[in-house]
Amino acid sequence: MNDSGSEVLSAAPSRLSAGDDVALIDLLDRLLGGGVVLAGDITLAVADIDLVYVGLRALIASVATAEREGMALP
Amino acid sequence: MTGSRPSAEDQPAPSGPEPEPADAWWSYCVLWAQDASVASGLEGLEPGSRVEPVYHDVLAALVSRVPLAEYGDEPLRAHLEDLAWVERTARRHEAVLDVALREATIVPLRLCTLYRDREGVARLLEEHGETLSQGLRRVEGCLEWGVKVFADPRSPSRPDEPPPPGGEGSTQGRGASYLLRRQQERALAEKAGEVRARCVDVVHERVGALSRASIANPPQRPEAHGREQTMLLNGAYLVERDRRAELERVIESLREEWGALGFTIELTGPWPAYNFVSGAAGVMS
Repeated sequence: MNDSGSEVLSAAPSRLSAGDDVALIDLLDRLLGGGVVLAGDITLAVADIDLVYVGLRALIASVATAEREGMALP
Repeated sequence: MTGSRPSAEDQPAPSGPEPEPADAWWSYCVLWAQDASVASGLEGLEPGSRVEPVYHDVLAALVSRVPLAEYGDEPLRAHLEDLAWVERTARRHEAVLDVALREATIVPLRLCTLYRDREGVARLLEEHGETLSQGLRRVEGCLEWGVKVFADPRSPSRPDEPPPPGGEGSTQGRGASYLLRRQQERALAEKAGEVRARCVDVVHERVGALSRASIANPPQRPEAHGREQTMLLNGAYLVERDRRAELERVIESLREEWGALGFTIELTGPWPAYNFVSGAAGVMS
């Protein structure tokens, strides 16, 4: 039960890989590629998620490469 | 829905009215019904929203309200092309799971699992209860950890390794000395490959030895991880909660052994058991 009653507690976990020090690619690998897939009502179809995933990875890849090469990001 | 924080007096009860058609329910994970209180008081993706349980039998799903204006099919697809939106959403989603994971075993759901009403959520729990329960039992009492091994592109290097012979002082003909050098380079490269393979084997085996389950996923491409180093191992390990200290000691010991040869060993986690919750079954619909 919520002891303070009036606060909506933001989830602010302390862990080895919390927040920004978790690499986005590691997070997305798991969130989009792992876990259990339950088809929801509004959900993207599995095939669509896979396409989104591929697109996101390509996008992450291009951002990572740009950062490494010191390019200005849009 | 203005996003104002609910006060103690008007906290919505789990059995309250369904949201207006303008809202939907975003789902985070499935856990045992008796553990559902781990998420009490947590804020969901949308500011001002609460993470709530939806129960069926021995299971519960954690969900929170989201506006269809942002999370309906079309707006969602548009958002998913925006890396900044995806990152914000993924991190807030994962933050909820992290809190739940401190106290309970959870089956994490894929990002973007949404329902129009709570009855839909309960129906899914009913239809897939057995598989979900199996998943929970499979990972009960464990946390997932990631172990990655990177190699310096020039590694492995040994400070005491003598330079290859057959250089400028050689009395042999230029052709023979060139061939000798090429032979030595090939031998060194082969040896380097062997050392890398050995490192990967040792790390995966040593961490696997204290895990309930382990998997070596394909290493991420350099374009994806953005590092100069080469990723050799992208492992995931299901480790009992009370073996965490042991895991950290093993990683430290592996670093001492392999660090000088130019290998970097990284530990990430704890994670929900993304890599271990599903059995042979893939999508459940």
